[in-house]
Formats: sequence, C-alpha cells, structure tokens
Amino acid sequence: MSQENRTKLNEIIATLLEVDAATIDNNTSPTTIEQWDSLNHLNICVAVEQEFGIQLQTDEMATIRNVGDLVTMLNNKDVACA
Amino acid sequence: MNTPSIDLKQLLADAKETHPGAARAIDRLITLAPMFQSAARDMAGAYGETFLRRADDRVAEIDFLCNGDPEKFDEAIQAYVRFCLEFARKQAEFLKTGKYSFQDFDEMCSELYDDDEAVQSFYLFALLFSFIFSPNYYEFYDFFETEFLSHITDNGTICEVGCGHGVYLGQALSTHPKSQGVAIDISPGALEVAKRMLNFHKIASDRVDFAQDDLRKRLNRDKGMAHAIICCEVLEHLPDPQHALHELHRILRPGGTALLSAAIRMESVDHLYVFRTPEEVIEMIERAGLKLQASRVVPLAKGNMQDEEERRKLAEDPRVPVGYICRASK
Ligand SMILES: C[S@@+](CC[C@H](N)C(=O)[O-])C[C@H]1O[C@@H](n2cnc3c(N)ncnc32)[C@H](O)[C@@H]1O
Repeated sequence: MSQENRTKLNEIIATLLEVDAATIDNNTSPTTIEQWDSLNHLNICVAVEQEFGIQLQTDEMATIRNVGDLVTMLNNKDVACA
Repeated sequence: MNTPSIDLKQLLADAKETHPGAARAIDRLITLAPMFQSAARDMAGAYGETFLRRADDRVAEIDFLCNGDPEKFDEAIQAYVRFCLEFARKQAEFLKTGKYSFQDFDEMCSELYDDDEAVQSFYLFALLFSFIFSPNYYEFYDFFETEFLSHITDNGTICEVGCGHGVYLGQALSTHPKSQGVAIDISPGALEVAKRMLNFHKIASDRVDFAQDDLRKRLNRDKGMAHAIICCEVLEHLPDPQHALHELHRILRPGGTALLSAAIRMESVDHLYVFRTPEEVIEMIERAGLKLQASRVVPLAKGNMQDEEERRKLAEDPRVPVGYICRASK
C-alpha cells in the first residue's frame, strides 16, 4: 500500500512537472526542478488531495518545500506513503 | 516570462552589497517557500535593477512595520505565500464557475476588513510583498511612478480611497511636499497601518487626514475637494463600482487627475465584482465623466511582458487574469 501510494505520488508530480518519474526522490524540490513554481505547487497539492481523498489547508501547502515534506504530510494524514 | 535565465545564487551574492533589503527578501522567500524561486528569477530577469531598487524600498517599509523583528518579517513572507496559494486556488475555481467566491460585501467586511488581526498580520503584508514579487502589483507601482506622480501638480489635496497600507499616498506626499493628503479606508486596521506608513515616510501628521469611510455610499467629502485621487485595487471589491466612480468624479476638482485600477477576471481573497474585459472598466470610467489619459494592461501569465504584441495577445485570452491601471482626468 505504502509503496503503491509512493508510486502514485511520484507519477502525479512527474506528470505535472513534465519530468521522468524515476528521477523523483525525497529531495526533489523547486530547486532541482525549475518548473516547480507556485502555480504548479498548487496543482500538485490539488492533485494529491483528489488522489488520496484528503484536504490540505493553504497553510499546510505553504510549508511544503520538497517531495519529502509531501510524504511526511501524507503519513500525518493517515495515508501510508513510503 | 521568457527572460534570460537568472542565476539566483549569483544575483543574491551581488545584491547583498548593492541592495541588501531586496537580497534579504528574496533569500527569506526562497528559503521559506522554494516554489517562489522561479518568480524571483522572472522578476529579476524582466525588471533588472529597478526591481531590486523598488524591493529595497518596500523592504524598508516592511521592516518598519515589523519593528525590525526578523521573525515578524518571516511571518509577513508566509502571509504572502498563503495569499498567492489562496489566489491560485480560487482562480482555478473561478475559471470553472465564472463566479468569484464572495458574493456579499458585508460578509467580506466581517471576515477581513473589520478584523484588525487579519488585516494587519496577513492581508496588508501580503499586499506589500506582492508589490515586490507579483508582476501586476509591480507594474501598477511602476505606472504610478512614471505615469501619475509626474503628471500631478503640487498645490492641492491628494486623496487615496481604499488606501490599505498607504504606500501610494506616502510616496505621493513625499514627492509633492506642498500638497495635503487624505487617506480613506473602510478598515480601521488598515488606517492604523497607513498612519504608521506615513510616519515612516516622515510626512507631518498635520498634512494628512485619516478617515474611515465607505465608497459604497456617499463619501463624507465636499465636491471637488481633491486635485488628485488614487484608487487602486478597490473597484473590484465593491458591489457597484459604477457608483464608486461617480463618487470619485464628484470629489475630484475640474482639471484634476485620478489613478484608477481594476482586476479583470482575477480572483483574490476579497474580490466581489467580476470585470470581464478592460473595455468594461473603461466604459464605466467614461460613464462617470472621466477622460482616459493613459493606461496599462498587465496579463498575469507566463510570457515576455517586454514584447507588446505578446502582452496584448495574452491580455485578450479570456482564461488569463489581467490587471488594468489608468490615469484619467476630469
Ligand atoms: C486590495 S486593497 C488595496 C490597497 C492599496 N490601495 C493597494 O493598491 O495596494 C483594498 C483596500 O480597499 C479597502 N476597501 C474595500 N472596500 C471599501 C469601501 N467600500 N470603502 C473604502 N475602502 C474600501 C480595503 O479595506 C482595503 O484596504
């Protein structure tokens, strides 16, 4: 489950940022991918909400700085993610 | 924006010496919210040294409002980050429904304008950082400096309606030392901030009259009392902007100049009236009896804003939010 969710998460990010899902790890961030701007940040968050059936407040979105932060947040919301 | 790619690290290293305030704002923003790296890069690429100079000015004002407290400064940046995400989220919804989420001015008032904490810790700081990092606000300020300040005389009363933080009025009174000022806003919390802002700009308190008033109604001001009016980022907040424009026309003296802006198909935390095109705004302004003298249209989209043709095309795209600002006369 946890691994499946991780694959889904990587695919969401890869699709929206137009990169290869295999290149994504916890350190992937706006520093490593130029297309990750605030608009795409929102798009990622909204897609994550839909895919995993959770809700994110703007405050929560604002504190996400890399993929690792997203993974932590999912786990905190009881979505197991490796 | 398709501008030459800027190396942010290099930019920061250089700016630390020449524009320390700007460098600090960029550094804190991209540290707290790395997703703004591309925004910082785009702004620096598009507007160069002027971007840094203006950012320095805004940061000095923000520092003053934060009492020089770096923690407060970071909170102010976080307010801007939340404001932008909130905008993006609501804008996506607007593109689906064609409606802004707020439908009722009074509700907006109790949720925001009457709430000092929300106005002073979130809203006005977010707006101040928008002047640095958001191209529409940046260009509005540029228009104000280049197309308004240099066109008004220095012998009367400059009235800012919906002054918010008071940045425009502070600057106008600094460059027009013989003029008096009137700062009007519906929000008591905003008027307090504007007062501090004018203090920061060393504007003597007897030069400015601060008043809580409501542009939805008849303003408590005489006909023709102002030789210059500033009303930026207010019309789209009102249920009846046409009434507001008639009212601004009434208090402007014949021969006077007004700076007016409007957000077009652009949501925000507190937008109410949907303008669909710049022409709609122009029509309203002219119906109120004002004559258009100069204007600028700022599409909020990726593209080269230095290229007039591209700018025009983007502005015509109904999915692209647009900022409109103009100088009009009576
Ligand atoms: C987006 S802010 C603009 C602040 C500043 N003029 C600027 O351009 O950045 C809108 C301001 O208009 C004020 N405002 C909203 N409705 C108003 C009304 N009916 N009468 C007077 N001021 C109003 C709000 O309190 C707020 O300070």
